This record gives sequence, C-alpha cells and structure tokens, in this order.
Amino acid sequence: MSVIGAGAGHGRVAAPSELSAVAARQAARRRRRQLVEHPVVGVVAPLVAVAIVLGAWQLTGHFVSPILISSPSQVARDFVSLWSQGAISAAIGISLRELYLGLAIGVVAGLLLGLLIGRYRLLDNVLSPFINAANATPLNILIPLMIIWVGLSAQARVLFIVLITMFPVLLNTAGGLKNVNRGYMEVGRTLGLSERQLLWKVAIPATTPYIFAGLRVGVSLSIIGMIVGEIEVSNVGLGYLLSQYGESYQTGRLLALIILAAILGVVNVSVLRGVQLRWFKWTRAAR
Amino acid sequence: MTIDASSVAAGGRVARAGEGELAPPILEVHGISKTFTTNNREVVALRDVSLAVRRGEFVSLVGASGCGKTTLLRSIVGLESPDAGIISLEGQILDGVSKDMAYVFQDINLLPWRSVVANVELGLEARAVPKRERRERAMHFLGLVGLTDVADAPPYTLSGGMQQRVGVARALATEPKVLLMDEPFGQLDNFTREALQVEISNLWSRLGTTIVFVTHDVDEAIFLSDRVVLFVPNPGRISEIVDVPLPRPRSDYDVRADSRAIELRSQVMQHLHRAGAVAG
Repeated sequence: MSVIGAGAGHGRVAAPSELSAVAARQAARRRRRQLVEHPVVGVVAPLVAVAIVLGAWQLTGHFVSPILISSPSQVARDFVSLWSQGAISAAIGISLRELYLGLAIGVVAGLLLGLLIGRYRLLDNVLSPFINAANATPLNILIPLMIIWVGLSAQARVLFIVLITMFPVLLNTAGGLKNVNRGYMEVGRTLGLSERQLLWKVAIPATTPYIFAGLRVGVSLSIIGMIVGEIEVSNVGLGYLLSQYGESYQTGRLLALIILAAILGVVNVSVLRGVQLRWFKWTRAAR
Repeated sequence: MTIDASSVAAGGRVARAGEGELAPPILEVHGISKTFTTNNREVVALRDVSLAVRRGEFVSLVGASGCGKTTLLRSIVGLESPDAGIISLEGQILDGVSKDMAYVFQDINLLPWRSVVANVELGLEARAVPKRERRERAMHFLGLVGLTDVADAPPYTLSGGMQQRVGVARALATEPKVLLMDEPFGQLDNFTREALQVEISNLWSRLGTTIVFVTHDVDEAIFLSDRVVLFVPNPGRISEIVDVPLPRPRSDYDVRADSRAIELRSQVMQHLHRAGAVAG
C-alpha cells in the first residue's frame, strides 16, 4: 500500500518514522532487483549452475561403476584421445556434410512446397492427406524402404534428413501463408498492388515469422535424423561411433559423443537465431 | 441548414453551403445495398444508400457502430462488393479497387518488415514509380506529417499517433482523388486525436483532396467537415445530412466552445436519438 494513499484515505498524515521505514523497504527491493537483473548475473548464474552439475557428476563418478556413468574428467580425457586419434574428426566430417546437405535440401523443399500449398487451395486439398499422414508417422519406419531403394548409402541417410527436416518447415510455411493478417492484405489492395505484388511484397514477407518457427524445429530434428540415419543405415559418422561405443560399454567415449552432438545442436539453433536477430529482427519485435 | 438525403442523391449538383456556387460531385453512390449473413442471421448493413460527394469536400459519415458507415466506405474503395447499386468516380462506374482512391484504416497495419519510408513507398511501387522518385515522393509526404526524422525506423518503434501519421502519408503519397478515412483516430488518446484532427484539417485545405471520413465522434465530425452524414442502423441507412457552416480554419478558434457548433451538435444528437441510432 502506498504511503500517500494510506495517509489521504484515512484522513491522517503518515508519521515520519513510517515514511522512512517504507522508503527503506523500497530501497531494499530496488537493490535486490538490480542485483538479480544485473547483466553479469545473467552470465555468471548459468556458468555456476553448469559448474555445480559438473561437480556433482564428478563426485558421483567416484561412487558409481564407470560403465554406468563416467566422470566429467574421464569424458574430457576420452574426448581428447578420440580427437587426437582422428576418430572423431573423420566421423564428424562425414556427419556434418550429410547433415547440412540434407538440411539444405529439406529446408528448400519445405519452403517451396509450403509456399505452393499455402498459396493454392486445390494443391492443399490434394496433398494434405499425404502430408498429414507423413507428418503423423514416425519417419524412421521408412528407413528399411529407403535402404531397398537406394541401398545402405549416403543417399539414404541424406534422404532421411531431408524428410525429417522438410515437414515442419512445410507445415509452418503453408500455415503462415494461409493465415496472413487480413489487414496487411487490405492495405496492399487499397494501395493498388497487383495479385503478384500482394504475394511477394505482403503475403510472403508476412509469413517469415512462421517460417522461422518451422526452421527452428527443422534444424533441431535434422540432428536426430543424422544420428538415427547413421545408426540404422551405415558404418560411418557420429551415429555409427555412438552405437559402437554403446555396444562395447565405453561409457566415457559415449558421453563425449553425446555432449558433442548436444553442442552441435546448440550451435545450429544459435546460428539460426543469430540470422533471425540480425536480418529479421521484426519477426521478434513486432506484434 | 439540413439537406434532404434523397435530393442530394438525385441532384447531381448541390449548392455548397453558404456559397451559392455549384461544385460538381466527384464521387457518387447510387442505391447501395449490402446484407451480411452470419450464423444464419441476416444483417442488412446498408439498404438503398445514395450519396454525392463534391470535389474538394470534407464529408463525415457519423453513426453508432453497426449502422453501415464502414461498410459503405469499404464498398467505395472496393474491399466489399455491394449486393446492389453503383459507385462512380468522376462519372466512371467503379469495379473493384480503384487506384484513384486511398484508404486510411483504423488498424493502421504498417508492414513491420519495411521501414517507415518504405511503407509510404508501397503504393508508389504499385504504380511502378522509379526507385529514386519513389523515395523522394515518400519523403515529401512524410514531411507533410512531420515524420522525416523517423523515415528509416521500423514502424513498430513509433507511438500510435506517429503510426497513424505514417498511415496518412502512405495513403496521400498515391495522390488520390478521394481519400477515405475509416475511424483513423479511434484508437488514439484524446490529446493525440485532437492534434491529428488539426493536422488532417490543415492537410485537407492545403492539398485540396476530397475526404470521406467515418467516425462515431460527433465533435470530431463537426470540427472537420463541410457536411455530416447521419447513419442509423437496422437496416443501415442515411437518415439526415447536416451542413456545417462554421468558418475555417477552425483550428484558429475553439470550435467546441463556439455557440453555432454547440447548437449543431445538439441538433445532431437529438436527431440520432429520435432515429433510435443511439441506445438510450
């Protein structure tokens, strides 16, 4: 309750001691807020949290069998040894090439199909049963079929990444284009834009926030696609190493690869977010 | 002081109030009807509405919500297609959106991926104006609304009043013969609204553009207009057209305190109440 309100409302003047007590409480609240919201805290707090988890994990490693869980220091040693042997760099080279190839094709295909489906009602009606079925199905059941078609090959792995990446991009793009703010379109119409100009100058730009939402999902799923493809369709890449170390109970190496995959995922999503913030800032700032 | 609606519609030429000279109509609306069906319920938004607007005139359409004034404005610009009736601009019957008119929306909807000046350029892109000239013209009209400083800013960083100024500049940049404004200041606070009313009034006298202005604010209509068209609902129709013979420029004196304006206002309100246009 406010001091002025209390004093005026009850027909009495607040005593100086009351005023100073309230002022002190407000100052304390302000200090607490400043501390919590300080930029340094934003950097330090997550670092401290990670350090605590690593410490606890290190401690656990002393009491539990290394087959169940390795310690962070062991994981780091395993990582360095794997790297120096060249095992990781060879695997990661293959993995990344296929990942980005599949991601690129999947994104382009998802964008094109999404724009066509969002634009042409008839195409939407014709394709939607297939798209909905494919989207609702766990795509890895298609892997045996893909192996039959293109063999135990890089093509099969890339194709799988393409499929798993394409659908979220496609669905978000089509959905966004179908739901462009009517007000934007009416502005364009009254200004005399042609149908073609309405599409390129209003509808498609207005769809970008949805496209980014689809890209975020697609980029995350692409790594799943990469690992699953490599485990199921091959003897190469990070996924293959993962299954090897898993089968031979090399928990330290396994964890090193898991952390590597996690870092890869974070980097990809961060790059996407960086692109969005740098060139498409309005998609986050505008209504 | 009042002119019968039917005579305005029928007579192509109507005397400008207090002047006795004849100004030809630039925009004519003949027998417009429009019925909307929502949830199997029919709402007659407009029934047989006719109106003639003279060149250079400032006409306001006033009435409670649901009386069809916005539907009429949207029909004029071509965003709605009426069930019956015709609309003509300079004698040419309109079909679809006309490039000779521009519209200012209540929901301004500046495109957030374009800078302020690029928003003003949009209508010029539709007219294939070369890039350089486009920028110059856009800056000129931004200057008219006092916003050259924020030309390169993203629109969502502007206040509501500034955004609507951009909305006005965007419409004016296409150099329309008729400017249609649909409750443009409805979402602004009182101070901003009054400032923009003065600005619009000044721009209108400076540019000579014909303006049709929809509002539910009787004071706003009286301050701005040569004539105020009163709409009543169920079915939406024109009930009365009132001349506003107040001297201009009206920003030079306090119109709200002017005795003639007060008289006009009470006349308009009485009429709307009598016609059942205002819920009592």
